[in-house]
Amino acid sequence: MSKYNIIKESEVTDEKLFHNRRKIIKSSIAFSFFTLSNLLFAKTEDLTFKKDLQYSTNEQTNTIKQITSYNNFYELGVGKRDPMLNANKLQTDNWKLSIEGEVENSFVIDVDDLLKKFELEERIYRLRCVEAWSMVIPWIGFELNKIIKLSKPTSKAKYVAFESILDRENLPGQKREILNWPYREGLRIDEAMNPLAIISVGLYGRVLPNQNGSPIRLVVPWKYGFKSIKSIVKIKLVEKQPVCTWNQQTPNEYGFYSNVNPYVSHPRWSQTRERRIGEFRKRDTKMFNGYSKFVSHMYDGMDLKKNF
Amino acid sequence: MSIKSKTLFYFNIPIFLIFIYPLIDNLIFDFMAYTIKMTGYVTLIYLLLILSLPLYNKFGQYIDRKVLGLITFSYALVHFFLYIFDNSFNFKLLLDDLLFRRYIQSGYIALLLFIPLAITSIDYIKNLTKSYWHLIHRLIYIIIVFSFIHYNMIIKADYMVFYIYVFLFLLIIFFKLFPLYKNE
Repeated sequence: MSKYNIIKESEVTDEKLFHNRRKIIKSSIAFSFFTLSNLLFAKTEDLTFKKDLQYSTNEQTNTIKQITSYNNFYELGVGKRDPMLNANKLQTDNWKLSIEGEVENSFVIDVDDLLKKFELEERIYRLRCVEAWSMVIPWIGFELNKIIKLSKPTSKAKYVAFESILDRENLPGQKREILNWPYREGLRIDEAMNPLAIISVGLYGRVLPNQNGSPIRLVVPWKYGFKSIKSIVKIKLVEKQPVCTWNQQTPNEYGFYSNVNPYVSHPRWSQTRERRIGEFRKRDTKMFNGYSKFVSHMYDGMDLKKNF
Repeated sequence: MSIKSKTLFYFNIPIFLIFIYPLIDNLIFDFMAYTIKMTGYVTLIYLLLILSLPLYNKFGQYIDRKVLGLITFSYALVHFFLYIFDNSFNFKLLLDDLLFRRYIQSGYIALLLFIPLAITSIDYIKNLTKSYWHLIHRLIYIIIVFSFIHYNMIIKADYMVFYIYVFLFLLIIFFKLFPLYKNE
């Protein structure tokens, strides 16, 4: 018997491989969150679109990392990072959108067909969350009025109701009744027809990442973020003001209109200032999130303190 | 290390972690909101810990209750100053908060009630208060209740963590009323 333990040449880890392995482990610890957010985004496809100059802001946009890892999407978890971490739990294959209610032409459309129907454009909008933070996001989409016109609303259509996906089996947030699922939102018909209101299908030139409300979501930049409902499955034109989830949850805190308004504070916190994500100090919040020019006429003569 | 310095050392680790963590996690984009939130959470946990220490006298071998109390008070102060700083020391904004926001008011009450506890931790002043000392230190219950209200009122929809805090609080109260061990 030999004094030494003999190890066969084939059992020795190659030196290159050894170092490589250490490098991989090291980098995956240090940059795990970084790579995770990048990977999740890298999966989505490129879109063809034209740039808009009329409504877009020329402010510095938030980074893709910020936009895809700091989200409120309770279906995928209540933490800001949960939607990114649980993004794969949202099943978007064969997604269908139904347009119904007070319309002459109700229809169900496959999302892929929807994308072919309308010319996509980039809209760079500010987004102001009711929690007093904000971002600037380069959305890709089309005006909501285009899809509503296609359905030919009747004279009874006074409001537009939106409904989000209900999938208690797969969506971790829907396993508990944190909110009254499915998530619902609504607009007055003139608000919905306003050219500023868009249906977004992408951001930064690519298909929407799941955590941002894939495959189709609403974006109404002059209202608090929660009005911009994600992952829409149904649009219904209705005669009476529809039920909206947050309004239903706490009516005295989240009104039907929920226009960004620094002069009407949330009952629990002030709305005068906001933190642009990535910035250290807060900045002043603007009336209608700075979109007064396009939207204030819709609220002429309305008491915005009462109709908050 | 004495129990006092051990307590001082170990219970100050979280504050360093809170401020160092953003260096390794590049997805913290709201540094101020994050630090305010985290110092608040730690304060709540420490408050419950202070309350639970006398439940079992062996705890006293590892943790000095007075030092822990003072550390908790300093966490609450850091939490408060971060909030002041986040409002740019703007008196108008702070006054507006103090007058109209109930969650801010309950935070102020909890912090104010904490001051006499911190002051009477000094042995000289403790001796002056005599038998009132125990009475003053019963304020801890009221401080915890107001801290819980303070936290409860900022929650948007998910009360899970809040319920866990309340459950632990009630559990401690239960064992105070019906102790498992007799402390000598």
